[in-house]
Amino acid sequence: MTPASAVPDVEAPESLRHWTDLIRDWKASSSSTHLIPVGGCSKPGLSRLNSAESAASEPVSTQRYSTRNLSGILQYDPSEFTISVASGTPLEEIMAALSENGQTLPFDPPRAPLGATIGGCVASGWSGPGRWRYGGLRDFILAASFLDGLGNEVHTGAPVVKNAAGFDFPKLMVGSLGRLGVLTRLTFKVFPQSVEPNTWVVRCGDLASATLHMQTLTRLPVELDAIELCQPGMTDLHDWSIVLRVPGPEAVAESIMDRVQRNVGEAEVRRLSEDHAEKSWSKLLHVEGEVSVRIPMTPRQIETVVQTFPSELTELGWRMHFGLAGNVLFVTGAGDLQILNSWLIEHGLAGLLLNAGDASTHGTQIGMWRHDEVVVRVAKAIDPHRCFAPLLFGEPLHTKRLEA
Amino acid sequence: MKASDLTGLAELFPADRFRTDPAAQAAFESDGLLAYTARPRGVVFPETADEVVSAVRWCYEHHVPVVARGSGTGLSGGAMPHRDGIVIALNRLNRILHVDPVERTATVQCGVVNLAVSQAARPHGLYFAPDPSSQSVCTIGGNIAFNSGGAHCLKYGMTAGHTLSMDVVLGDGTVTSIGGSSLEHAGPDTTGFLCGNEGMLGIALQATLRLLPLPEVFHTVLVGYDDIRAAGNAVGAIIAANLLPGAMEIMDAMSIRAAEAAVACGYPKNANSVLIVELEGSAERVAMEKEILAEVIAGTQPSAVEIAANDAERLAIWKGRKSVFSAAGRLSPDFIVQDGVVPRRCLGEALERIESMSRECGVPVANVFHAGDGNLHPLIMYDGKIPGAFDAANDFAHAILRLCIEMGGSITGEHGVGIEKRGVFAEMFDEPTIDLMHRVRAEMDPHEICNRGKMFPDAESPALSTSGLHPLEKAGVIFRE
Ligand SMILES: Cc1cc2nc3c(=O)[nH]c(=O)nc-3n(C[C@H](O)[C@H](O)[C@@H](O)COP(=O)(O)OP(=O)(O)OC[C@H]3O[C@@H](n4cnc5c(N)ncnc54)[C@H](O)[C@@H]3O)c2cc1C
Ligand SMILES: Cc1cc2nc3c(=O)[nH]c(=O)nc-3n(C[C@H](O)[C@H](O)[C@H](O)COP(=O)(O)OP(=O)(O)OC[C@H]3O[C@@H](n4cnc5c(N)ncnc54)[C@H](O)[C@@H]3O)c2cc1C
Repeated sequence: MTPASAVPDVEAPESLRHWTDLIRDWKASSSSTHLIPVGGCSKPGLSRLNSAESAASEPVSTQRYSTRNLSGILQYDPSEFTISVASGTPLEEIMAALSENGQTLPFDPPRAPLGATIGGCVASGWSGPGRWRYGGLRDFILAASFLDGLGNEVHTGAPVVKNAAGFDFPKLMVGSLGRLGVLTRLTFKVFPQSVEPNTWVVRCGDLASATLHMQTLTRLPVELDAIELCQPGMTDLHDWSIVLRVPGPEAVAESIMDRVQRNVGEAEVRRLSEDHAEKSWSKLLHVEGEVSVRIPMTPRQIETVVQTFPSELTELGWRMHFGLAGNVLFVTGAGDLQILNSWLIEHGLAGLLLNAGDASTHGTQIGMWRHDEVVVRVAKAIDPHRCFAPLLFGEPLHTKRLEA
Repeated sequence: MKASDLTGLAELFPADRFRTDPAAQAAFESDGLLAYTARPRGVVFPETADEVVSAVRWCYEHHVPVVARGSGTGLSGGAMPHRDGIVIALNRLNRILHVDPVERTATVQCGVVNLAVSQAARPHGLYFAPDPSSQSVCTIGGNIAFNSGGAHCLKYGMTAGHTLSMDVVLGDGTVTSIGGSSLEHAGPDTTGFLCGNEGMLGIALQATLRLLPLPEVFHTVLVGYDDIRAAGNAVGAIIAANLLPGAMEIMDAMSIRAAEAAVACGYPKNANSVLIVELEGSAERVAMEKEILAEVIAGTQPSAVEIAANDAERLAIWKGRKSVFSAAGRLSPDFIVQDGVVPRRCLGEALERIESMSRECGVPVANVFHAGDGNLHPLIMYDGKIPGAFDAANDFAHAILRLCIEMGGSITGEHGVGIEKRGVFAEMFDEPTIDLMHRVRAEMDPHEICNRGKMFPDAESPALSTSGLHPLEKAGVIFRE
């Protein structure tokens, strides 16, 4: 085995065969250590042991193994608008190959520049801003091969843009967090790149008008690739603002933005320079911070979230932004997660830890994870000997717990 | 087990909502795939989710198979009853519980008819995108079970892409809620996983669906070609020009003839095949894209190009397309619709091979298909009254599915495996994969009461009868694509 270069302590089995042996031996040894497959940990928070497990009376631990040696584009026919890749392939490599043919994965998979792999992208279930118009990972994944807990490679879905045969494991694998098997091969539908997209900001003043304008924009019959809502200080110094990505060509985008302006009354609508736009998207896409957490939510919860967000964290410089027109909240900051965790539980929100920071004792899943009986049962079927680390559910997580 | 053994179940329902009489049994003996029939021992008509749950729990305890049924329009025998079991007819769970224009969602019971969701959303400028041709009749529960699509799923995807959460009763009577109202999700996408499970893991009770803004304008073009390969190549050219139409549909000569006979659709005279392309979106974008489309089409050697000038003309174009299957009833007393998918680049070759297979086995075939996504719908014609005719048609149908697998495609794009395609299921998936599917089923439905006998190849074989049009098609209520 060779160590993965960027993360020295993560071993990387050399081939599929080695992976199979690893899982079969694991099963045989039935140790209290769980295996967690990773790409190379661009989202190290996602492959952490859950705190409830590490505090349990019979301590369990996890060991990460990287899929980075399962790498390469397996099949790509641009005219077919599909691509099949090995799971450890760096996203950057895939995006570059697609880009050469004017194509893309339009949901903006985050962290490509950090060397994130496509397998890690699927398992983390995190689609970027482009999900708003084009759909997310779940809408683009067509086929997934993975190693189950018995060490068998299964091949699910089909490498064509439409398929209704068999249970939809490819979708199940979106957000599986390395807990339901080791992804080995993936096939996606791809799209043509958006023509000359440009970025506009709607400066809304206070939060109330920002949410109102956003509601209006989400119901307009015009094509907006992305709609993100930013706190003052992120794209605009003083105002709550809505960042829009509008596909070109220029004349169409201008006309669409005229309509946007007519619908947002007094709010200033301004186009960002290319440079400014790139900086804004990179900030929104990469969610930088010592600690960063992704929290699915709904647009109706925005005001409560802002009003109740712990002032201690705001004072420590924690920041937030709402992606996908208020369907996901990102918070970033530094320090311990206890306050954030309690706040999430209080509001019934589930968080995924992207970066845990150094001092954190928290695991990947924080806040309140509602019990999901389907995951619990499917996990038993996929991994009867519990080779992989479990997902934890409960209402709330720390009072009533059921293990997958 | 004898009929009297259902008394415990009968006690859970008023007499008029638990029926075991021959009329009720006959009314539910098949779904849209009329070639396969079986009479259930009883049919229950729950009016609340709790009643569904108590029926499932009773059946679980007594090992009685259940088949969930929406409107019975499925085309693969998914809702065909089990002869030792009961049918749970879900049409009375038909309440739209909530439409939320801010979150752009609708929460509905599983027996709500597809089109009713869009009608309820319309006042808010929203609609439910999946549009199976049967949408005026089929239910959301059926759409979820088969992950149904429609002509517009090229652009918008299937039902799974528009289902955010659901309440479901699993095969052992456990009720669970999965997903949420958010577009985003933390943890595995179990809602996506349960879409397309063909009712084999449990019964969906209600679901929260995603709504989209109604498209502002449509631009619909009908293009005639001298040969079908040219029509297939045109699809490739349109996609290569970075256009993503809402729909792209091809019909071959036989389908055109059928449609012409049925609804006098007035498609271009002498065209060997037609391509329908529909752009949709904001006025400014469609205005720009239609120029590009015109240019692309001009380069594909069309024999005729007709552009719908208004809504009436657009509907006239679609009327021809949507009438094909019911129109085929004029050409043949019985037919099987196949639903395989091939990679788009193989479309032309697939059609040629289907035609030559048709010549070899002497079974006629008409072709319409969702060309944009490689989803074939060959219509295999036969006369069920002639001995051996069904078998010949069925063998031909399976040969087409094998061709789809050989080309790297799928045995079904939207109609599901059901009873009909079980025989080729194991040719598409290998043993470890099917074994995993069985393990999942065993966890969710330990006594295998839900839709026993479907999807998996080793299931018991059903009873056979002749076939024909779905009764609602005969009545002109719904049309196939
Ligand atoms: C602190 C840090 C900084 C780094 N900086 C850089 C850098 O600047 N440049 C650079 O090139 N690289 C960098 N790397 C390495 C880089 O992030 C990895 O090489 C990369 O491939 C990413 O991992 P990932 O995004 O694929 O997902 P991961 O973070 O590895 O995993 C995300 C989630 O997906 C799961 N998962 C991952 N793969 C699979 C699979 N195949 N099957 C099932 N589940 C899976 C994991 O269990 C986890 O839950 C850095 C790594 C670390 C830890
Ligand atoms: C004329 C015609 C045109 C059609 N056009 C299209 C088309 O364009 N695109 C397309 O995709 N399909 C099409 N179909 C097929 C069919 O309409 C769809 O599969 C539809 O989704 C079935 O809905 P239903 O309510 O009739 O379900 P049913 O036929 O009653 O059931 C279908 C399957 O779902 C299961 N089921 C039903 N309700 C539930 C529930 N609540 N929970 C769990 N399982 C459940 C049943 O057991 C069965 O296996 C067409 C059919 C006809 C007859």
